[in-house]
Amino acid sequence: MTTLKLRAGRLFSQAWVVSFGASLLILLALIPMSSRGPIEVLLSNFSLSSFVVIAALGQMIVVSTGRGAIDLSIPYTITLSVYVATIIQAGRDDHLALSTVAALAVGALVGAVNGFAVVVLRIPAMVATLSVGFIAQSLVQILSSTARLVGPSPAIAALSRADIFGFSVFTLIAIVICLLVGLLIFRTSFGVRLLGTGQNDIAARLADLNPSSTRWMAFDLSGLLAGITAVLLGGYSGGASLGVGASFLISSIAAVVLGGTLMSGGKSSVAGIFGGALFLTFLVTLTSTLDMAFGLRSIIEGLVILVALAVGGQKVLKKSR
Amino acid sequence: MTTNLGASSQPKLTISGLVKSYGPTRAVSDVSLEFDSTSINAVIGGNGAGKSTLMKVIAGEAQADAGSIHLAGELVTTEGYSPTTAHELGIRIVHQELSLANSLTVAENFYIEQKDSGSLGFGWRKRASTAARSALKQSFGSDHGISPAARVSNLDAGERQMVEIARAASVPNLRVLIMDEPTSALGPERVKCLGKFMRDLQGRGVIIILITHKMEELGALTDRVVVLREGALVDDTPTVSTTTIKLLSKMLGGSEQARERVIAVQQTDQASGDLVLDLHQRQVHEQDLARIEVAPGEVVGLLGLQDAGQEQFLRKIKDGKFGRKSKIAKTAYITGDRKFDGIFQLWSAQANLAASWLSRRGMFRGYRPNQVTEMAAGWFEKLNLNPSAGEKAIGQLSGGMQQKVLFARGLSTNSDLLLLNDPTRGVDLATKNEMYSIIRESANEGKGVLWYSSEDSEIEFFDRTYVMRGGAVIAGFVNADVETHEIKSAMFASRGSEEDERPRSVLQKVVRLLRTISVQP
Amino acid sequence: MTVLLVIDSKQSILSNPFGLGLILTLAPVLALTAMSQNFILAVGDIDLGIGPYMGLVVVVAATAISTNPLLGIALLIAVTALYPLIGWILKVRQIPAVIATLSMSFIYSGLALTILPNVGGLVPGWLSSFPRIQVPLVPFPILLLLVIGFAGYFVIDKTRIGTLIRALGSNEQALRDSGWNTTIVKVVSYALAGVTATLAGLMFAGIATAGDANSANGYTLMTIAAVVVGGSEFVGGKVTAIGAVLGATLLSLVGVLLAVFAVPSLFASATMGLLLIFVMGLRRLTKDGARG
Repeated sequence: MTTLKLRAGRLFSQAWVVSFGASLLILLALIPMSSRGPIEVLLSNFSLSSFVVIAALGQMIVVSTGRGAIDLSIPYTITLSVYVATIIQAGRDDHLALSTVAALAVGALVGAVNGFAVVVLRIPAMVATLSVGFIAQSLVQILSSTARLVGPSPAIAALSRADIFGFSVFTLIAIVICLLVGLLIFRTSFGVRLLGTGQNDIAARLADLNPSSTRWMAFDLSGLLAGITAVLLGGYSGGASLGVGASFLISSIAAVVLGGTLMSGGKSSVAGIFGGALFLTFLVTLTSTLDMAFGLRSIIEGLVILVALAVGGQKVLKKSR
Repeated sequence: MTTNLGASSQPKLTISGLVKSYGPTRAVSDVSLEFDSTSINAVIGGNGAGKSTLMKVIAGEAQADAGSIHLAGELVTTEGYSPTTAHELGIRIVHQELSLANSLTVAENFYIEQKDSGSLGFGWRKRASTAARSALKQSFGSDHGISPAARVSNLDAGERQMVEIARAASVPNLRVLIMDEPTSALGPERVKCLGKFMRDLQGRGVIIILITHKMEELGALTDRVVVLREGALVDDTPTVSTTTIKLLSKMLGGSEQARERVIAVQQTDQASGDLVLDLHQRQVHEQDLARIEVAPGEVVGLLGLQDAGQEQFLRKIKDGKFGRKSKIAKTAYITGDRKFDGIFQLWSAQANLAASWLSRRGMFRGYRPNQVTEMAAGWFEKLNLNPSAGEKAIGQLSGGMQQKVLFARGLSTNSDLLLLNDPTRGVDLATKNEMYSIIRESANEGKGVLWYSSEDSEIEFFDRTYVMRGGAVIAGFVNADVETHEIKSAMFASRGSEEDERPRSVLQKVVRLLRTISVQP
Repeated sequence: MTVLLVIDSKQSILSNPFGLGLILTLAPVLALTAMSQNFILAVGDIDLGIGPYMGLVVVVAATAISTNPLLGIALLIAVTALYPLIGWILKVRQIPAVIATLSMSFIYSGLALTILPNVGGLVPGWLSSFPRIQVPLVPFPILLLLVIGFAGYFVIDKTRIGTLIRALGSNEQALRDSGWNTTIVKVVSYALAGVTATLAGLMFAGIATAGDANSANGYTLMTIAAVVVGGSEFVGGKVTAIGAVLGATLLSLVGVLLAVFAVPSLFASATMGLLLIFVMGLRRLTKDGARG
């Protein structure tokens, strides 16, 4: 009897279980409210959350490196990449491959600059990524005023609406990327280096885990994932617009935190990201289904995240001497 | 054995049967002592003697496991005795690690500690300034040269120490003042001022206890010397009746502890070949060594008093920061400070073990969990670790087991040079012996070992020994050619003061020149 | 700081003092937000919600205060009280300031939009005429900047509470060992930040004259830029009030300079970002150089 209780206790202490559970609760609440069937609601939310999932995975990797690392440039990177992709696509399909590569390259480049600022110039990650984000924002503004925007390639727009056995293609892509990132973190040396660096920077250096290059790579990957998000987002949102990446700052961070990844570094939960993103998407859907005023919705979203944080309480890894 | 020069009406600080352990290590072992203000008391001892621990207990920063402390007949070590209570009783301690807020000024630091009983207004700053000024003047004379408005971060180490001491000593209800190495950053004139101040305090009935490693200062500053070794009291004499040599032999004499030997430790043949470590050290003082070497197959010890810079030295080697002329082979760093720079707390024992090996295989190289399990299992067997411990969180293992995991991690990298950072710290005896064999085996296989040890008994395992003081290597010995106590005595050798340092640059030379000019009476 | 002064000296192009005053109208607002951020930085945190917070204050000013002053003031006090509340929650539940203040930004924004969903309302006359006061000899904004700088410097560097706040950021353990209640110090610090932020919002409202919940959103990032350029640090609680004011002034001037050189406003953000990186990189290099 006690072992069963212990097991249950252990299960609930896994944050991702809680976030999935909470999502389920909201789903149950949504069912009577919406005109569509429960499965449909579930699947459409899955689809919506796929963008946040991919972006949040990048945030998770950066946050896992510890020492308060965070990537505040993600919204700007996404917007910039969407612009680049949309411009190259110019409403046609022939340059789809090129545009995808370009978007990914832009993301990776921003990530590399972030990495440089943090590792070489040793600027605190918050300020560094903020500054780089500023620069990206400028580039966006330049592009938006100078380039002619026709629209995304029809192929990718169609892809955003396509589904396989009911699951949208984007959802599947997000799941695949989740699996890949999971593999990266839990089955490669990079993951060992990442989590080791996040747990104890000094020990990592002395144990040949090379925290500096690991950090740099983490920012690169975050940028790359932001680029991937942008590619998908472009198809979904009908092309580029100035605010297309804006919501990703809080949602990437919230998904990371709600999903059980430690903000102090050293512990990542890929499943948790999915659960966290799903929860956030459900929350937004719920508030919009209830037809709340936009202001009220903001309040609720902020409050929910705050309460989740306050209740959860992040364990701070203490290094004692 | 206390020298009772004055009337017995002097309040006494009585320590009875004090015992304090940290895990398996007995830091203080049934110590009974009496202090009063009839003499300025010094407490000395080698590494791990228990001096710091004893002082911490007196000052309320640690709780004793057994025994008691009385001041003027009243029990001090009650339940929940803390630094705050100690302050109320007038017991102050000045540590080596400074407790000042760096971005505040001297006066503000005084305010933080002593608060202000004045009215709600702006006089507090002036009062704090005055307090600071008078405290510094009392302790160090009129020309201490520190302005209360100076920011602490702009003061040098010596000045910061002065502020710390002055602050602690200026409280009106001071009855006991403990100072841990107060002169370590002070020049000779300031030491003289401090000496005079201590006499003043003594005259006022304050009990003064000094922890010091500077044997050369004992004569001038103290009246009585208490010697601790391995947690026990071994000597208590008036300063005038003893000599440095006598004290050293009391501090470092042969240990009577019986040792259990599990495996016989064999000596290796002299190894040949290229050096695994060839460092060129910048000589700051005349006596500093210029070259430090380790050959394959050698076990070289790195000794010194606490904080003589051993750990930083090893880290510097690991980071490879020694300039182009030095040669460092592939290194593995194995630390005894497990919690701080060794273990990854969220991981299992086997994950901790495999971390370096996995990382060194290449950044994106994949691995399967059973590769880790197998690799770890192999090492567990080799190091005599219970295989079931593999999957447990590393925090759940004992210190000795954790240390074995760290050893395995380092050894699994197949490095040529092992850097050991006091790996037997806080480890049980049986595990220690196993480690000694592992180390000797590694040396036999051709690896070089540079071993910082804070336990003097480990000297017997070294082929050669380097001694560090004040951040530099100051002496090197071939163990077979000298007596053990000669090596240990070198730890206390004075290195020369700041004034004797070779200037690093033209700018430093100019600054030095200006200083000598301004100090002229 | 030296870097700052070097760049400042290049601003001599603008010779007309009153033109300067006009250009610098918004500078005091940025200086106030920078001061607010300083209080938060001093205890080792960061405030990512100040922009939306100001939007909230603007909205309250444009609605409640003009129609029902007593209610308006009460509302303002209630809103300001959110700052120390959040500071307390942060300390007690050990939540990282980054996310906590980000979440609060949503709450501020939501509250503002709830009160005033569309741009409208009217800022009371006395508030909107304040920034436009004319003072002989010197442009009013510059006077304001001086007052703000001096007040901030006084509170942070000269008062008891300022000392305690700086001590919290510098060596929390020592503060605790000396018997001070660190939670209270943190809460007070946040309260000061809140009051300053409210003042910033009111001044901004005075300049904007109408209520728009989203109008101040850009201030968050600009504030961080201002404090960084001004010399405050994120670790160790080293903040400088004068630096914050100088940083705010500099940023405002940079904006103007760009206009003078006909640099398209598109580059404004990039310039800010590059400036931040440049300043921080330079600072890091000089720090390492001084040590070695």
